[in-house]
Amino acid sequence: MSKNASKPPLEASVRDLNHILGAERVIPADSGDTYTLYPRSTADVAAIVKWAKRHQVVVGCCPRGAVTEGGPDVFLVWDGMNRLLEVDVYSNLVQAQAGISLRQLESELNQAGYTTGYVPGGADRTLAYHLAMRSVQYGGPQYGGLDQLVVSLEAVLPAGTVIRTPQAPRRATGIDPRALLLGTGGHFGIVCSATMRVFPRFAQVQDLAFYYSSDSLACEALRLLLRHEISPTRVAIVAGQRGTQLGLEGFPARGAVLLLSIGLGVPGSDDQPRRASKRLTDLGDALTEVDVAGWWSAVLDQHPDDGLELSLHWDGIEPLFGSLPSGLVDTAVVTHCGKHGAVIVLGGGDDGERAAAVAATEAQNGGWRDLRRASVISPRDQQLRAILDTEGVIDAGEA
Amino acid sequence: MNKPFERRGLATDLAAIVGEGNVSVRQADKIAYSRDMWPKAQIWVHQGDSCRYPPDCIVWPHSVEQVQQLLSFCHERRIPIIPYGAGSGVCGGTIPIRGGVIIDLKALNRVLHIDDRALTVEAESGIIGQHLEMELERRGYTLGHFPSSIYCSTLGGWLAARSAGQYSSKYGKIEDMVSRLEVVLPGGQLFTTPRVPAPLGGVDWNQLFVGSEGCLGVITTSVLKMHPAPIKRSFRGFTFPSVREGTEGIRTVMQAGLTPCLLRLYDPFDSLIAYQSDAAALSADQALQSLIKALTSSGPKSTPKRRATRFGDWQRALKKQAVRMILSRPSMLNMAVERLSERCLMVIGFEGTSEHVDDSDALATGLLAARGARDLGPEPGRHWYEHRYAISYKQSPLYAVGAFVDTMEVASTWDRLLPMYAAVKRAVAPYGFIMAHFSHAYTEGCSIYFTFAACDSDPQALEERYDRLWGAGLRAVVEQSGTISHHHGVGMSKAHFMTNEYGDGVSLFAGLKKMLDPHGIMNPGKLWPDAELIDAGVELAGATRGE
Repeated sequence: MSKNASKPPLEASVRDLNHILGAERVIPADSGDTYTLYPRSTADVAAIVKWAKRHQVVVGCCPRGAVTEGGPDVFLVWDGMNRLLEVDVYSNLVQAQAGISLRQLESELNQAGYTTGYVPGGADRTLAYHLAMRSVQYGGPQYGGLDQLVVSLEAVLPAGTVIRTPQAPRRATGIDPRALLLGTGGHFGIVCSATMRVFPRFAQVQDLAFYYSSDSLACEALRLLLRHEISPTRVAIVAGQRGTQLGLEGFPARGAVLLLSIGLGVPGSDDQPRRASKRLTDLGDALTEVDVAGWWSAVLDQHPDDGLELSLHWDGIEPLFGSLPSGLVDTAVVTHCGKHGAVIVLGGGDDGERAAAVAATEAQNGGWRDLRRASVISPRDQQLRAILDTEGVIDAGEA
Repeated sequence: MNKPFERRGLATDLAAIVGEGNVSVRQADKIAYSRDMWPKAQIWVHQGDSCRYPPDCIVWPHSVEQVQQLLSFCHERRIPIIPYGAGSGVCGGTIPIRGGVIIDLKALNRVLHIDDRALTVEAESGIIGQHLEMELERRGYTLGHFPSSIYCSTLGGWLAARSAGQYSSKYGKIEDMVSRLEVVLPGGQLFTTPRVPAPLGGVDWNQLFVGSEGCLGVITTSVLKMHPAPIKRSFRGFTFPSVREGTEGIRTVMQAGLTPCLLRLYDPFDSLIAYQSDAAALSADQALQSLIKALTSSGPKSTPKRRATRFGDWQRALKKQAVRMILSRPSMLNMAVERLSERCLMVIGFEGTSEHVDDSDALATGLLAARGARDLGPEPGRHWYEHRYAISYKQSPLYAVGAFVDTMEVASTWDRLLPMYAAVKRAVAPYGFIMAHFSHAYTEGCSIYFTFAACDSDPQALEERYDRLWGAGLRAVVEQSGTISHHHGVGMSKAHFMTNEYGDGVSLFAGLKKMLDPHGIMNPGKLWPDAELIDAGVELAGATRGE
């Protein structure tokens, strides 16, 4: 749906919207040709989308903050949908509206003694953003990635209908609708709330750091460790140069550092740091008397918004490091680590270097995402989107 | 009325693609491929209808290229296609309701690559599960996927139906293991997904093809995550005073962060079945004992000597009669079961490194003891391990007496688990005898595996009873906000409940059908009712509105 002369004037259509949301939640822009809407519930969002469909209005819902040229007629703002709805300590679940910031969500959960275990960069961004981006994260295999953590979603589809995926631990009922709603930038529906797994917080977490002479060697040490039933709560490998760029005090200027956090205080867990250290020092050296907690903070706070993310199994990672331009290797942080592989986030590089990195990744049969590029979805995804939103009611921006 | 497709010369055209010896129009093959292991289809056989939905042809392609050519051919001519693995599904997922071509993938059965560093295995879809696992075991690995059908189900079937193995609490379900898929689309194009340990941005196509039950394309190859073979394995049995305490035990173990490979709790009657050496002693009820024996015997013995014994014949006839009588009055039997001791059996197991197994076993034993469990030692676990694939083969005696036996595997979060258990039992009790076990446990919830059986001397009435029983059971699940299937899939048997499961989810599936299968040739009548798809604007080969 695009703005055109045959459409009824927006001002006339908005009168209906005032009845739905209340005039105080329908705010005109200074220019008068767009409106900002403040829904409070999934029902509000569904009503807005139905209204938009009826009046040929484009609804802007842009988790990344960018908008298309020409642009939507009305914009959704999440300020009214930012509540933690329920912590179910019996089933270890939390339900929250999509507008809540991850920091707020974690803070409220921590007060109740729980955590999602989900540690992406950008904790001040909304849950909607992280769901729409399927943000890579530093949480370890103890908790799993976003696809494992999100048990169910409530979303408004382009027809204005609501889909609620069943709140069951697993299911075998056809395709998984979450595959269309997580990581797709909001193009296939507006996620309004999510139910996620939560875990009791460890009484104590021990941070460890190990030095290796290269990124490849650090990856090899981590690969071998994760085969042995040791489950860190956080894990990352940071290139020496990247540490220098981040201004980390005492960080080695060359090689790579493996940062690791292991939860303590549960029977059976207290011996894990010793067992991890024993394995990790086969190929590298333990770093003692360094500020590992401070290093963690800096790495998380300065996670690049425009990173080039490369997802590979362990067999492809060493060859990839060997073929990356050296300028890019210096910016590397290895995240999202598990028994079968990891995601390498490259924080710099010009277009040519990034294209070379993408080609090297594809040569290893890996997947990639360049956050500098406008769209997070592929041409194939766009084809499906055109079928599911024939009238272009939802504009998730940067398409 | 179905729109007919051109059937003349079909077998000849298909033979030009796969070779003459790999096409069949023989009646025996049509009967064999007209159904899977859906119990309702067994009832049709009892009604004298052994081939209600015959396919037109069965083909056995030997390469991905042949699959591409087959799909392209059928797409062009609007001929329905039904991808077929080993036919062990129990939901009618491969029944050719509009005829068409069965593509049996069992000749695509190679292990293509095992990667020691990535811990991945690439294999073709037609490989039998046990063969895949044996090859991995030989190389020092395991997939960690052990459905009870492992001897008679294929990798492709597991992927198509979102299968779960008995060790899913540790290794996850099949969808958790997928790294990459190669799928042939109806037009014959090859659709491949990136080989990644975790998806990044964009649509996660793996999770759209997994569970699509052959309705979007044919999965020909997959890369799956595997694990080092365990160094040590340990099992232990416990009894609990009741189902409530037992499920609390499961929840406690899972939420403590333990990762048992096996964790299952049998309800009181299923406990007797599972651990039958105690059955006779525990049950004073003659009817129950007869049923237990019927359910746990390995089928009629057929040695010549026994066949010749008149007394033996008479004894077997009496036993059949007793089982028929018991199962024809399920309400009485269900009430009798309620009088049983509430005692429940739990079996728990760990595998992995020695340290992991020893630590986990000690911690679990302590946690369960604190929940009122009595430690039975390793024997119940050993018994379970030795009989872990036997249950499916114990159902034949019941079919032989004209009864049906079926299973319903549902799941919910912990807060609704016991209400769902009670609601389903209550709903099903008027129609069939019902028992259950709890398995496939996660931190936030668990699956319940109901087994039910019923009998009616009139085969038509038996089918009506079957439909009523399923309708009542699934309605109870939906009312408790559970999922209608944890790992068997949807097929034909649960399609009418998908709207209850997903609400407007049909529009998403319809969009995929329009994009990938624009003529609607892929496995008609499965997952969603045709009428709902047609309402959503999907073209379906051989179907018209109002059927």
